[in-house]
Amino acid sequence: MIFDKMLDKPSIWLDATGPYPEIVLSSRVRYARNLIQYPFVQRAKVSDLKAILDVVRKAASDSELLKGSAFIEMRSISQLDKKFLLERHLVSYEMVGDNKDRGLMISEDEKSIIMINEEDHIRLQTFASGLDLFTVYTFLDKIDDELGRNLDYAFSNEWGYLTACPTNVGTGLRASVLLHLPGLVLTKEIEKVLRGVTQIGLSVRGLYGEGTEVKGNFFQVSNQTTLGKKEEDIIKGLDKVVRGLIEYERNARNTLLNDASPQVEDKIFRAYGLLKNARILSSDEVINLTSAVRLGVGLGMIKNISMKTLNDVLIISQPAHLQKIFGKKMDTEERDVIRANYIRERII
Amino acid sequence: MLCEICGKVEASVTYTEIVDGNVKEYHLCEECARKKGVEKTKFSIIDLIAGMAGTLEKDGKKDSNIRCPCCGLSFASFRKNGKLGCTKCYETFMDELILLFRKIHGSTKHIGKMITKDEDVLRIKSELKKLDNELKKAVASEEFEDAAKIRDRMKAYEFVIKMKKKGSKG
Repeated sequence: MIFDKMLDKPSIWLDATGPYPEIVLSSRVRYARNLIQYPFVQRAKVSDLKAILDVVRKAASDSELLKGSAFIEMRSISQLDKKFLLERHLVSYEMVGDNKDRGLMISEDEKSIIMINEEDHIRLQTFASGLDLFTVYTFLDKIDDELGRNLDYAFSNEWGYLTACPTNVGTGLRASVLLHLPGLVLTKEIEKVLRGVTQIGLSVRGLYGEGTEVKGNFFQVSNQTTLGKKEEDIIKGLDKVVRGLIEYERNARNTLLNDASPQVEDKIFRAYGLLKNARILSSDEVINLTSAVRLGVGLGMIKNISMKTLNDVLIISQPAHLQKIFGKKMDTEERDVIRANYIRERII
Repeated sequence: MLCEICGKVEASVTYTEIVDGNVKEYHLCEECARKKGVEKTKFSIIDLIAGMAGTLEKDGKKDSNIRCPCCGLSFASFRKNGKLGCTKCYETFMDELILLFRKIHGSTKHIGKMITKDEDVLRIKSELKKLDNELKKAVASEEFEDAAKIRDRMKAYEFVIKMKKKGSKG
């Protein structure tokens, strides 16, 4: 079963092997596509949704690039499994909020997924570790070409790919980068920087995408507009801004080292001490403590922990992951104890 | 999504608060947003559509009872949740959408990836022919519900062919 394979490690695109691992966790891009012959998901009948699932699943299983993908029918999995997929960033809230006929195709390496019957019939998504937008985009586009040969996409030469929400029309492309920006937060520059980012037409969100709050100094930056620009230009534009953000973050980290070294060091090592020794830890605590330790690793103050270990901890210490790994339902109190045990094993 | 404060009314205002570098996003209804002293600064599609529809109605250009002939979505309901119902809605609500595209994207013309291969049009045409046969059969056997469904699908295909032609001329 696919879940067993995923269980004790996060997706490969969180392995911290990509460019700028000290600041960028991952890059992702998605295309929104719809089939001409069916109403959009919100207006579709149950029989339409089932038919869409079949048609897309068939097209995806004929794809060379998606060979070996697993298919998950969302209705057939438990609430816990749904949360598990959500924690891995493989589905959106829309996919798990109700009991509609929705499906998920996951490639063997978890780098490509198709959400079927999310807001649009097809949400094709590819991921990569670190800042690697061009690679993910190129791969996404190839899969899209393959699928497009077998599917009739709703498309107009005037407005491009037609989507359920007018905010996605045109390219249907959303590219986003997940950044860790503790330096800008600690130097209190973040508000100014983010305001700048939103003013040039990009949007900033929290760790879990749309409508979620920012935790652990993680920020997701993505393009806002999809019509009137070429795909490559959307990617280039975002890539340029993210490179700028990396530069700002590096400067902020240098400022911290020069002006407030003992205070910063203290904050980092206190967090490190807590993670290594605490007997009870909540999810939010882990996100915030690992954020400080991540900064310490990035600054070279902590040498015996890798970014990959921190990513592992971030994903695996979440509630659904812990419950699936330990194979039992646990309440919050029990989880907080198990979580602290698990982290003491990983963070030495 | 319902307002995060009162939990009763559909949220239409997105409000971002930054305290000590922690950014939190709230989704509120207009009433609660006003009480909280929040001014609308952030882009929200529902706000945009609501504002735009108001202008159109004043000019007598739009009746919010107008419905998409294919999926039945009314303009009022599009205005409420910001989502379209089917491919054909793009034609039904074309005037509004063009205004909306300009506001959201600053553009009304797609210049990205194209699917204009002739084989696509050919395939769609053969699909139409197939559907036309099915339609005739359904009508002959008086299965009118099926016939209506088939007709909806045909409308969507016809619209796509029309849009392809329009785009290649312009």
